[in-house]
Amino acid sequence: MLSPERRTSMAERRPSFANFSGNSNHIDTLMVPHLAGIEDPLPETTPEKVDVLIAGTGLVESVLAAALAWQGSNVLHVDSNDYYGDSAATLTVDQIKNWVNRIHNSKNESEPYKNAKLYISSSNIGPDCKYASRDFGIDLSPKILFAKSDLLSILVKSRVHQYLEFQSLSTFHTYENDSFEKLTNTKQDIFTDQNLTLMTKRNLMKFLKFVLNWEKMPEIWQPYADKSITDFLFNKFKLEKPQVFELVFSIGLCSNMDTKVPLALNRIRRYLVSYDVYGPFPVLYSKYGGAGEVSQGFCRSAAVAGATYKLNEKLYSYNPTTQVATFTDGSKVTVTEKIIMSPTQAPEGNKHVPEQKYEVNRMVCLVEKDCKEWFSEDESAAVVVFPPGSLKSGNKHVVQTLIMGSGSECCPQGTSIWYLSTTESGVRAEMDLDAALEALEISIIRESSEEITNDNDIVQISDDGRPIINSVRLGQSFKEYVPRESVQHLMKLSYTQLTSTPPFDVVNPALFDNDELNNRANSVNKFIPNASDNGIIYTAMPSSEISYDEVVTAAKVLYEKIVGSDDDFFDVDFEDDDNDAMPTGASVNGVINYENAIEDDEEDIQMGEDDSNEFVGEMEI
Amino acid sequence: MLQFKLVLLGDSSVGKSSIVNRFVKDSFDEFRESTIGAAFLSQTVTIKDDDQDVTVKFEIWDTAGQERYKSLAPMYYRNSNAALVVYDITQADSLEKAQSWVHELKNKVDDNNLVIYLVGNKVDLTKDDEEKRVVDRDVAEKYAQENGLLFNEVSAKTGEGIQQIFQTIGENLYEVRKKENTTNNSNMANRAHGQVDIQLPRPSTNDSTSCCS
Amino acid sequence: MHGIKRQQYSREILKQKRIQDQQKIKTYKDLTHSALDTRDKGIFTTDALQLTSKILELNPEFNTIWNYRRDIILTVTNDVKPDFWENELQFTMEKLKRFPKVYWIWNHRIWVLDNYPNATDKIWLRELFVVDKLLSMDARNYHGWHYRRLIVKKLESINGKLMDKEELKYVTTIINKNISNYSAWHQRVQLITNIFNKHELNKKEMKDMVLSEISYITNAIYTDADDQSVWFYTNWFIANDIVRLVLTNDEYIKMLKDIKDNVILINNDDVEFSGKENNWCLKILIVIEKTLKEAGYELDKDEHTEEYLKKLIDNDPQRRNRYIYLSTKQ
Repeated sequence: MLSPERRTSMAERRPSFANFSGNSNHIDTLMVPHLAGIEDPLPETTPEKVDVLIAGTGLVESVLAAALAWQGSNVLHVDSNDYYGDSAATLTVDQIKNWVNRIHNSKNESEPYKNAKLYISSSNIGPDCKYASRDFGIDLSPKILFAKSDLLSILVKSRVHQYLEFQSLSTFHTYENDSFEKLTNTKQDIFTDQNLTLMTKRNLMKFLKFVLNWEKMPEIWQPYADKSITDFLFNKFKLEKPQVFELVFSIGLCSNMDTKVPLALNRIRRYLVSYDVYGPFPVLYSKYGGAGEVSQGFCRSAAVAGATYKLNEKLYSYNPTTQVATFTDGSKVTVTEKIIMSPTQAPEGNKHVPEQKYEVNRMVCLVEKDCKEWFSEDESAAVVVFPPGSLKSGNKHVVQTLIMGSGSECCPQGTSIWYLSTTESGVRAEMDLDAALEALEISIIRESSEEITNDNDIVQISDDGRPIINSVRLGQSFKEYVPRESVQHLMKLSYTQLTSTPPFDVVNPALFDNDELNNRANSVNKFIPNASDNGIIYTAMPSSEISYDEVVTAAKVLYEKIVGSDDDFFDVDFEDDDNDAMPTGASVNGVINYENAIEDDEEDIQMGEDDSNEFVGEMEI
Repeated sequence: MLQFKLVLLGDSSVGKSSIVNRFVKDSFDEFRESTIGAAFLSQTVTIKDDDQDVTVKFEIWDTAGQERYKSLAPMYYRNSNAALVVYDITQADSLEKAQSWVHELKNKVDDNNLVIYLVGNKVDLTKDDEEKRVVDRDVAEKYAQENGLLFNEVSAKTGEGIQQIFQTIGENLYEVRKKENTTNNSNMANRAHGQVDIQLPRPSTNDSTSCCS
Repeated sequence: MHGIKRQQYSREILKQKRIQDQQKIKTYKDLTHSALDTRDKGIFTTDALQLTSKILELNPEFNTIWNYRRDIILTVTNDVKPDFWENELQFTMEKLKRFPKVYWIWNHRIWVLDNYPNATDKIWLRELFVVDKLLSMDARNYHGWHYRRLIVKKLESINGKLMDKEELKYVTTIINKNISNYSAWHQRVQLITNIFNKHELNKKEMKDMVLSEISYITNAIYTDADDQSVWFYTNWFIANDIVRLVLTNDEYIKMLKDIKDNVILINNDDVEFSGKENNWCLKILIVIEKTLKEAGYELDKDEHTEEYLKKLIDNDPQRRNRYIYLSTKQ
């Protein structure tokens, strides 16, 4: 395991390592002493020389910093902002104000944000107002965490999860015909749902079984490999539109009708295998802010492993020949290996930032409504998906919405945060987001208004003058008659974020493999005269993906580029890893001979014990 | 058992880590679940309430060096119940720096019940040579009183006064918690939204087959 | 293991574990020797009781020791503290949490309840709650179901009131949660049988019950036509005497034909989808045809049993010989 070229890991470099390893000839797994991170007196001054400089404390950069620090690299991690998180930050209302200003004043030609518009209800948020700026934690890249995902494993392995608190999210609404439909996605739902026809139940179950092992059944999907998932579900599985939309857009969280079969199948499966890992829900989110919290957690972990942190530090230029990086405050550092940088942190005069071809259009609303109606009991968040064609704007792309209530501690009681996003671009994107916002507003007013749930309040006068009493929730036609209570917006923010990652795709490793992108300006090996960023490797901006799924892949690609292999990516074992987790009886069971202990069980007890016990013998044929 | 989050603050090299080290390691028992790896340290103290022993467990967060460039994350301060603000009695400007940390703390932590303990470290250096002291005990004590902080001078090197710091903080937090429990029971109910935090290392033992696997 | 994970151990931990284990084995052997020794000497004291606790802690499958423990308890019963019986329940509960599939623990627990001094129905009601909890942890633990039946029986005899209908509701919610729960379907068979045999249902109630079972079954086979539990229940239901008695012969034949049509539809759908016939469907079709004939219905040209068996011989080689045997009997 310890090859000569390999840099010593955190555990090996710590003084207490010697004490622990002294009495054993060989260390099977490297252990991190329990006091790691606080035993050494820390150096006083800015490091003069580091292995790796990382600029930007976004998700990918923070995961990378922690992975490198635990692997033993000497990391300097800086951010030009005075807060953690960068493109993944969780910000207060005041910080949002500054952020929008910064974008407007940005002279960076490759600025990845544009069209930022902000409205703040100054009578409601501010000093001496009902709400304070810091009552809110607003995510620039809102995210949900699948219960079975690579990031989750790394959170646990690295123990970063101990800095965070997670809550469940089980409600995924599909907006269809002016109303929110809840998902039918478990065997139980399908079995007990009385609205589904028998054949639909069968087809749905057939699909759910198939998708868990779809790779192993090429005969079923191969003929559709280049077709869209909607085509596949309609034709091969004979599913009806509501089920298809639910599977593709809510469960699979795909962006449009044309998502290809294999990609979509993976996305649908991701949801299903995550369901019931921690309970009857597929995803989690971190309290107090999503991605912003997660990146802070990884930064802290990196710091514990010895990385140096400096906010408010912006790179001025890098000279790959002398390996000296100069910051705007005049300080310098020698970087012996690599500089990794988020496009948000690019120095002036940069020429290598990858082309940001794709748009993610986002809208964030702070709303004075608790939105409990949309959450499951004991939960405080929900996802609402607007499939193509479900909105007034005739949307071609999905609008995905994440609703966070006050239980997430991201906003005060009685309020909620609505995050809307679409992969549609330009004016169409604006129209789609506006239409989705309106649909959300109408829906929450209808569902939260008590007057309207009373039949007597909705009376229509028919042609001959007789009043007709209508039932509630009649949708479209009647809505217009109901006096429109408006939703109080405390803040409304919209912006376009650019990214080099294609929508709803996993990270393309080639993005980082600059050598392979021949003729591209951002090739690391190609030095451009007068460029301030020769030799710098850029990360990608967050994609439109609503889950954390791209993060670990992206961090691993970069890690491999720096370390040479990703074998020991977060290969950390903590020395106090308790073996409590082992069932106490397990080992006893394994070695003790029970000869005289086991007598024959009663016959009926044997039955059903073993799942492979088929009853064909009993079936009288 | 009561559990509290305690954060360390103060400039680099005033001996924050050695104070915790002394506290945690002195009575470190390898057979007890007293550490949680590199995430943070934990240690317990026992306090007396009448004849009852109450165990108070501290979850101690070290700055991990992130204070050096004023780069502590909001996460660090969040939900902390107590803070240890450390200065070095042999360093001229270290009390002023400690004061600015106190200021920062009060800004960042929204809890009126936050217990802050101001600690002057390295009292051992002045035992033989009183000249080495540059921060007057009286000055620091007066500041602490005016700002409602607990105060003492200690030595992480000899261990003098270390255990007492945590004992006192534990007792103070216990009193606060007791008051809260008697007066604001209803408040507690309001605060809990009914949400349950999910423990990531503990997947549920539910039958995984319920979802068609 | 019903999807309940076993821990994977790293090599290092395993090595440490092995050393610990060797010590444990020694301790265990010493304890066993002295316990069997005291038993043979006829010693029944609280000290001996402690000894059995230690052994059972290590090996709860050692029934001899459980027996010895009961003998001791009966001997010292007048000397024990008032909370002894409660602690004994607690003792078995700790074991059950760790070893839910060891019959002897369940066995001992019911013995404790039976011998609990001054017990009322409360203790059994509480037990029903306990078993509910245990089944919610692993709804497919057959011991749990078996145990539940014992508890219900006790309660029924104490209160003089049958509980089968409540139990049927319970079992339905469990099946709804997981249609593949074989133990729960098995329990359903018993409950339905009890309800018809022991309860005084009027004609209409019986018929409604049968009809609702038919639609429950239909719903189930459409939801999952690959699940053996569902087919097991279907197989039991269509051919059992209760249904035959409740329905008129015409109604009975109609029910069989309806189920047959649904099964054929499902099988055809499987063929269209994957090119393969559904063996469960073929098997149940054979049962249905046989049952139809027994009910006096002439299948004539519609009889396909021979054809189904041929297909099964090809599709299900493991049981090939059985199908061949059955087809010779045709």
